[in-house]
Amino acid sequence: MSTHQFQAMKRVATKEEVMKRFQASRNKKRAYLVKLEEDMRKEYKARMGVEAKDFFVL
Amino acid sequence: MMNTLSLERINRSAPYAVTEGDTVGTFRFFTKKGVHYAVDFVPDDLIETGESFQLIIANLNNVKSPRDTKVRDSILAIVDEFFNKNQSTLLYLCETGDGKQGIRSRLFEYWFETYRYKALFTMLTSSIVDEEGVVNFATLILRNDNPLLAEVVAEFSESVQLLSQKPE
Repeated sequence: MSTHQFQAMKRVATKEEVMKRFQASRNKKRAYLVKLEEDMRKEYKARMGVEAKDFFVL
Repeated sequence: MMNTLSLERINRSAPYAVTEGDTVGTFRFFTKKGVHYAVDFVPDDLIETGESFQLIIANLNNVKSPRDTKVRDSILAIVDEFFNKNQSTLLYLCETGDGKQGIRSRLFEYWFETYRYKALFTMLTSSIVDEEGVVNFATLILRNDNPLLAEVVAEFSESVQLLSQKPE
């Protein structure tokens, strides 16, 4: 199947579907960051011997 | 599934010593001022065409050090190796919790502008207003030789356009 045929067959997503996926991506990131902060604080303490202060996400 | 990155290759160009985290696709380094950085790649489903990963950049004990270009260069060394081993799409969604997402987005774009191989990539940044009315910045990066380039760019552009439509 060519790319053009594939695109023609592909159903167009609705705004609600895209927003749902976008929110899911953000929620996944938020959940990931909770665990990441916990792990990083442990790594920091092990290396530096003191508790880390602020956690910052770029 | 993400292909394993070479730590040796990353450290050939990263100014700070990069180590691997406990799981695949996670990397760590400490700056000279003791800031602890994480650069992680997390599988993502926002873009349905092909395979994509979210780029997560976080730190502990942040100290403002705009002249420390080693941070930027270490992050770019990790991203460079990601694209060396993977043809996936990379998505960067700026954190919005403190309202500084615009600054984050511009900083990331600036960093990528300094990347020596940027001509080999397509980078798109768009703002998306979520259901709470918060402006989010999403950046998409993929290799120009990605066979799905046109489809991914079209899907991203259509998605952003859909989310920009005002309710009827």
